Amino acid sequence: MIKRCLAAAVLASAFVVTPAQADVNPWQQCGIGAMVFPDNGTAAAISNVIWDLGTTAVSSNVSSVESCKGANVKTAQFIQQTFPILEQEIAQGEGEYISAMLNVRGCDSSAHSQMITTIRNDFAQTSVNDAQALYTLVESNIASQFSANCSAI
Amino acid sequence: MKIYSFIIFIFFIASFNLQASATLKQLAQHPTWLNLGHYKKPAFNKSYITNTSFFISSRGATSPFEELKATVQSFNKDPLAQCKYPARYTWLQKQGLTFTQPKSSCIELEQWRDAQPIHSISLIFASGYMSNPASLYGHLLLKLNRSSAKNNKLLDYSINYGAHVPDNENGLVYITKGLFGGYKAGFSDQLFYRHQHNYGEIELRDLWEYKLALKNDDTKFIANHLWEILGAQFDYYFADENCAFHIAQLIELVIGEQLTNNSSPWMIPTTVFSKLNQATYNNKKLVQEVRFTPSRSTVFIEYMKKLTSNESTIAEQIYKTPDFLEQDDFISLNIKSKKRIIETLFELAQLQQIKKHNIEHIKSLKKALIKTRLTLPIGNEVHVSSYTQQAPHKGQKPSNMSVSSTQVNKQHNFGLGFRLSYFDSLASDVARIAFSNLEMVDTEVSILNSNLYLDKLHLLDLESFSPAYVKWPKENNLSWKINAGFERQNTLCQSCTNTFVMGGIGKSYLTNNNKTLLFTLANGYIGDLAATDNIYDASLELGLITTLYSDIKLRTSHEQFILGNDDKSSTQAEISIPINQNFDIRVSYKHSNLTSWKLKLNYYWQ
Repeated sequence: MIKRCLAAAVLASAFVVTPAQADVNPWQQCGIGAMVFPDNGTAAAISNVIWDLGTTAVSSNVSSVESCKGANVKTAQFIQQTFPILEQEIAQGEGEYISAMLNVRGCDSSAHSQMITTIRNDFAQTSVNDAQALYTLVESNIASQFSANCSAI
Repeated sequence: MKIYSFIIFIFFIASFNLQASATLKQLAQHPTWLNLGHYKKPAFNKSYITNTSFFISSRGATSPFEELKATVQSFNKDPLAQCKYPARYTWLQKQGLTFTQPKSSCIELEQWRDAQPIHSISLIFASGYMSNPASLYGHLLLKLNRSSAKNNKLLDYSINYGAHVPDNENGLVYITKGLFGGYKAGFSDQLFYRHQHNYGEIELRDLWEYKLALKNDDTKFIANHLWEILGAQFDYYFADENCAFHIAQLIELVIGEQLTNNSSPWMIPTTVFSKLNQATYNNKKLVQEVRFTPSRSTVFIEYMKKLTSNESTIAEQIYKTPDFLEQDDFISLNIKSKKRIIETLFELAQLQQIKKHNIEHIKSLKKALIKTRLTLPIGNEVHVSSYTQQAPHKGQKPSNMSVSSTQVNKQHNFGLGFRLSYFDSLASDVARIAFSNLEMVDTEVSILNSNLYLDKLHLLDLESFSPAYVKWPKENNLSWKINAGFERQNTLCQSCTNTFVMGGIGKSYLTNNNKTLLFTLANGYIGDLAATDNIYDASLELGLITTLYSDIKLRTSHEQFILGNDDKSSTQAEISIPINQNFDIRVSYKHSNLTSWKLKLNYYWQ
C-alpha cells in the first residue's frame, strides 16, 4: 500500500507542472543583470541594483525570458525602482506607490488597505533594508494570508 | 456573342482595376494615410521612419502609393497583417475597402490594449532640467490612460520618444550628434510609474498632464498606431525632430495639423502645449483637464510651509540628531504634530538620498523616522490643496523679436533683435526654473550714422542658480553660467568688441520671502577681448534678481575685472515690465567707460 502510494505520488509529481514564474528569483534571473551575468546569480543581483531591472525592455509587454513575464517579476521591478518611496509609504500606511505595487501584483483593490496594514505590521517587526527583502515580505504575506485576493503567479 | 461577352467582361475588369487604382491613388494622398506612414511634408516622398522593415513595400519609405498597394495586398493574403498594422486596417475599412481575409483575433494586441482598457490620452510635460543638455527645454510624453477606481494611474502606459544613446557617451559627442544627427530614435512603452519616478523623484521635475477630450474611436486609433510603430526607428535631431514633434504628430492623426509646423527649424515642448491649449476637436476645446504632479522638491518646500515655528525647530533638531526622536521635546508633542514633522523629514531624506548628501547620516535618519512613524496611526497628516506653479501654456513664448533705442554718450541708435529660444532671468517664472537663464542664438544689430553694426550674437547663454528655498537645511548648491559669442562693448568705445567663451561659478542666496536672489560669481573669459591685450581675463561679479511689483522684475550686477587697460569694472541694471503673454518692455542701463541707456520692446512668439 505504502509502495503504491509512493509510486502514485512520484507519478503525480511528474505530471504536476509548476509555473515557471513561481520559482524565479527576479533579481538573479531576470532583467539586465541576468543578461550581463547569466551564470552568476550574485553578480546579477549587484548589476540589477546599479542599473535597475528591465530598463532594456522597449515595451511594457516585452520581456526577454518567458519565466520573467509573471506578476511577481513585474512587482520586483516596481519595488526595485521605487523602494525608498515604498518604505516611506508603508511607514505612513498609505500612498499611491504602495497601492500601485499591489495592483501590479494583481491584488484586488478591496483588499489593499488590509494588506498594507499587515505588511506594515511585519515591516515594524522585521529588518527590511532593501528592495529584495521587501519583495520577500510582500510575497510571504500573499502566500500566507492573501492568496485569494491576488492573482496566481 | 461569346466574344462580345468576353470583351465586355475584360473591359469591366480593366475599368474596375483602373477605378480601384484611382481610388488607391486618392487614398494614398489622404492626410491620415500620410501620417500613418510618417511621410515628410510637403513632398511626402520620404518617411521619417528609417528602418525598411516597417514598410510592407520595398519602396514604401519613399512612396505612399506603393505602400498602400502593398498594404491592401497584404491584408488580402496574410491574416496576421491586420494584427501588425491595426490602425491601417481600421482606417482602410472606414474608407470602404474590404479584404478577402476575415477579421483575425489579435491576441497580443488585444492583451496590450484591452486587458485593462485604454480609455483616454494625456500629454505630459516634464519641466526643464538644467543638469542635462537634452532636457533643458523640458520633455514631452504621451500617456495612454487605463486607470480606474480599481487601478492606479501609475500603471497607465507612458509612451516616450527618445534617442538611443549608448551608455557612457562622451558629452561632446552627445551634444554634437544630438544637434547634427547620428543617433537613431524611437518610441518606447513603459508603465507610467517609471517616468513619474524618474522625472519627479530623481530629476526633481514638476509634471503637467493635459488630458484630451478624444472620442473612444480616436483614442483606440492612436493606440493602434502606437502598436504599429513601437519598433520603428527614426533619425534624432534635438532642435526639430525631437520628442515634441513626433508625439504631437501622433495627436495630429485625429485632430489635423494643429500642433506642428514643418517650416519651423525648431520645436520646443512648451510650444506644443500652447497650441494644444488652443486646439479644437469636434468644435470644442481639445484639452479636457490640466493636472499638476509636483516633484519631490516642490512637495518638500510646501510641507515646510505647513510646519509651525516650534515644529520646524524640532524637525531641524531631529535632522541633525535622529536620537532627538526619543527625547521629551518630541515625545510630548501631539500625534498630528509628530506626523507632520516626520512626513516633512521623510521628504527631506528622500531629497538628500537622491543628491547623495551625507549618505550614512541620511540612512540612519530615515531608519529612525520609519521606526517612529510605524508607532503612530496610519494616514498622512500633511495635505497640500494647491500649488503656485502654473501650467506651461501660460508661460512666455520661447522665441523673441525686439526693437530698441539706445543712447551712448549722447549718440542714439536704433536696434533690432532676434532670439531663437527660450527665456532669460527676467522672464515670467511659469514652467521654468526661477532666476535661471537659457538663451540660444540671441542676436542684436543696430544702425548708427547709416552704418549697420552687429551688437550681439550669443550662441549659448546658460545661467543656473540653486539657492536654498527653506530656512534649513541651508543646502544651496553651486551656481554656474556659460556663455559663448560676440558682443559690442559700446560703453568702452563704438569699435570695441569681445568674441569670447566664458564660464562662471559661485553661490546664490534667497531673501525677501524668496522674491530676491543675491548672487556672486567668479568668471573666466577667453577670446578676443576689448579691454585687455591678453586673450584671457577673469572677474568677480555680484548681483541680484528681484521682483519689484507683481511681475515687474529687476536684475542688477557689478562686475570687477582683474585685467583690462581701461575701466576695469562694469555696472548694469535691467527692468522687465510685462505687458501680456506676448510682449514686455525692458529698460536697461550699463556703465563702464561710458554710460548707455536702452529702451526695448520684446515680442514673444512660436
